[in-house]
This record gives sequence, structure tokens and C-alpha cells, in this order.
Amino acid sequence: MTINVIGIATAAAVTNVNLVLQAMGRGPGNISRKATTVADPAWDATPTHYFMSDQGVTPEFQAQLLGFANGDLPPLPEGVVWGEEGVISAQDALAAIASPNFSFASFSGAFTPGEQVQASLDALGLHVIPFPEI
Amino acid sequence: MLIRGVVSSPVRGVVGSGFGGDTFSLDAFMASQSAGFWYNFLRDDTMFQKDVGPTPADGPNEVIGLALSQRLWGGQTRTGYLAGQPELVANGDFASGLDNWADAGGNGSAVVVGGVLQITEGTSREERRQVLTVVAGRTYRISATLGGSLPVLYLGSTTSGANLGNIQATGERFITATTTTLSIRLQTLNTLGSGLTATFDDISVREVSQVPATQSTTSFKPKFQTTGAAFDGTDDNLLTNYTAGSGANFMIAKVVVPASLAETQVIIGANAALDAGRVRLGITTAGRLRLSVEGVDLDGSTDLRGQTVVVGATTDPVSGQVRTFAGSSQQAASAAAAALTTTIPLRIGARNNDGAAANFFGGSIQHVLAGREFIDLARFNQIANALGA
Repeated sequence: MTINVIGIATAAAVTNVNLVLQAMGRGPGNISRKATTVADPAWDATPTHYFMSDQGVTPEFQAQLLGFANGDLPPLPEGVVWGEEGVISAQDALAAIASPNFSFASFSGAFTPGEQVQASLDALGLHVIPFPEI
Repeated sequence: MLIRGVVSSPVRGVVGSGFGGDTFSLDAFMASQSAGFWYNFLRDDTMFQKDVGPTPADGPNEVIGLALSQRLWGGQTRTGYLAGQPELVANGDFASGLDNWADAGGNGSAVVVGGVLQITEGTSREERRQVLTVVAGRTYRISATLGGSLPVLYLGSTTSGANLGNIQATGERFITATTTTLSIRLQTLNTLGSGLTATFDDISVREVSQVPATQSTTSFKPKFQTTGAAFDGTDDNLLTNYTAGSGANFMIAKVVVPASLAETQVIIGANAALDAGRVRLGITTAGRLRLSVEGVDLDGSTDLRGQTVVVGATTDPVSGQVRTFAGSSQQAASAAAAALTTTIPLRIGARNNDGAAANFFGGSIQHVLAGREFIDLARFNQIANALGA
């Protein structure tokens, strides 16, 4: 059974949420897809939120995301320290991951990635900003 | 080593033989291309979880951060191919003492004992160094046997750099050269003046792939499955460093098409700013194969939704023709003197929109190939048959 995660950050918080995820060793810019509270948005609509899809995460990562809601900073890889050498400060990290700046939902493998995105955005009244038609 | 889904063909690896009739070899055909790639997402020795390796992505749902092109492997395993590649490090086994390893400073000691380099830290950083000539853009496998106290092997694109990472324990790492220089610097991480000793042996650098496909952001990484790399249709993609040629080109993929698509999804593609030089092979909401190039958006006639199918496209600015294929048939053809972008590299699982990923593919990709030839239906069918269509 896989664990799949849809993570959502507000537009105001997405930069710092991404810095938290980057500090965890997950690379830059994890949350990148645009969403908005406005129904039927055009491709150039201004995003109010951003989201990511991460299929097949570890139970440890899921638990760390749950910890966000409890104000728990995640553990960092060896040699990475909050607030040092370009890593976001612990204070800014805590503010970034606090609700409602960041939310997530997890799903079993019974749901397609598209269904997961739809359910997660629906729960927050959000709509995917599509790409330009090509 | 178990190799799943290695493509078999009647005369695999007969480079330079004819490609027609009963003797078609996809390995030989791909090797004959002046440039290109072939990612086989069904194998267990071409993919790694991080973009520098070395942990393989060969189990269900393991993320893919690096995929190596097997275009030039001639049907061999990665290990077999590497064994035949020239060794770029001189005296990497220290059989000739310190030959080829320049003294780059420090007042400790560097001695070879029993074919093993021992570096002992002084009060200034002791270092031995070798600078190799490599080809920018190509991927190399670095391996080393390290021991003792806190050894470190720095990799850099300049003679004194470390920008390509480091190795601190016995193992291997994959790096893509950014210049024609690759420096290997052997040091310890011990406290200056500690007098502690690290050991180094069997240092090796060999070219493993000319075109890597990488992803360094975890949530963007597709997942290994026995049915192919699974792309989530939201943000998963791999970035190659391959750009189309100014002449003829082809792109072919064996994919599992999603059962439904909310917007056009791109299997492989790139475009420069303002859609210039666009080249995109994707699936429309109606399940039609679509090739987008300058001058034409060419849609196929077959609904491919839910199918496992080999699809392809080919372009030739000289004859001014473009064609698409799916299954065993030509889907569409048109006149279009399409000049494809030669500056924006192709993404897999999305289009590379002048550097940003967009229009993500939400299915599985088993194989994806590219090369520089204008192909006809007969050639496409040979390739598709070799891919197990």
C-alpha cells in the first residue's frame, strides 16, 4: 500500500514552505502548481495557493507533515542547521508550516493522482489554474 | 544481475549492420545516430533515486532522480558497458606509487603503502590531485575505495573546485561534467595537526552516459514501477540535457496513456520563449496523439486513452515534412518546415516551457527515445516491434 500526499501552501507562505522542504533534503521548489479560490480560472489567473503531488512517500515523511500541524519542526539531514548557511531560520520555518499556511492530505493507492488533487483542492475550495492550451 | 525488460532484437549490438528486414537491431540503430537518447524505464540498472546516485531506483514506488541513457550500451548491462569504457584516471590503483597524483599542498604526508595511498594530516591541508579531460554534458561514474580516518574525494569542474560533490566512503557517484575539466582532489576532513590518516584506492572515472535525465526535487520525481516510470500528471518530470538537432529528428515513446485527460499532456517536449521552436509530443483530452511544431499542430485519428502504445513523431526541415505514428500506423503527416529549438533541452513527462515544466503527463513511460533521422512507417514499426509493441 502506498502513501500519497497532496500538499498545499498559501501564495504568501509558499516560498518559505518550500525552503522548509528544501532544508529537509527534498530539493528546491517542491510546491509549484498554481491554484486559486476563483472558479473556472484562466491560465493567467493570479494564484492564491500552490500545491504539490508526491506519490509513494515514506511513513516518516507523512509523520513529519503531521508534525507540522503540531508545530513540530522536522528533523534535518546531517550537517544542515536551521538558520545557518542559507537554511531558513527555525522561527520562519515554524511560521511557514503553521495552519493555514500549509495543509496536506494523504491518500492510499486506491486513488489516482488526479483524484487526490481534486479532492484536496475541493476541500479548501480551490481550483487548479490550467496551463495555456497547447 | 536481473535485467527486466531489456529490449531484445535479432542481432542486438551488431553496430554498423543494416537496419532493415529481419536484421533490425534497435541497439545498432540507436548507436548509429549522431546524437540521441534511449531511456528504458523497465530496467533495474539505469535509474537512481538521487540525481547523483548511487542508490538504485529499482523497487516499487522508489523515486527516480537520475536516468541513464542506454543508447550506446549495445544491449549490455551498465556494469558490462562500464567495463568496456576507457579508464580516465591514471594510476588510480596507485600501482605506480604517487605517479600522476600532483602534490597540491599541505605539510602532512602522502605515501603509498601496499598499493594504497595514505594521506596524513599536517598543520596545513594535505592534498593530492589529478585533473582529467572530460566532455561537458556527459555523465561519468566515479568510484573509489576509501578508508581510515575521514577521507574525502572532492569533484570539481575546475582544477581546484568541489562544485560537483564529494565522496566520503567507499562507493560510487554519478556526475555530469559542466566543463571539459574534472578535478579529483584527495584530502582528509581531520582537524589540522591531528596527524590522523585516511586511505584511498581504486579511484576510477568512466563515461557511463552521454545524455542524463535528472530531477533533484523530490516531489517532481517519477516513481519506478515494473510497468514503467509512473508520472503523476501534476508535477513529475525529468530534464534531459539533449536538444533537438537543426536537421531531421525523431522522438518515440512506449507509454501507458491515462484513461482520462483534463488537458493536453506532454510526453516529451520543449519550446523557447513565446512558443518558438516548439516540439511537443503529447496526448489531447480526446486521447489523440498531438505533435506541435512551428506551423502545425498535428493530431492523430486514434483514441489512445487507456492504451499501452508506442507513439512517435519525426520532422525534417529540409523536405518540410512532419509525421506522427501510433501503434503500427501513421497517424498524420503534413508539410511543415519545422525548425525545432536547439537551445531548450527536452523534458520527459512534461514540456520544457523555456526552462519551466508544464503540461504534465499522467501515465507511465516504459521507453523514450530520440535521434536525428527522418523516419518512415516501416522504420517506426521496426522500432515499435523491438520495444515489444
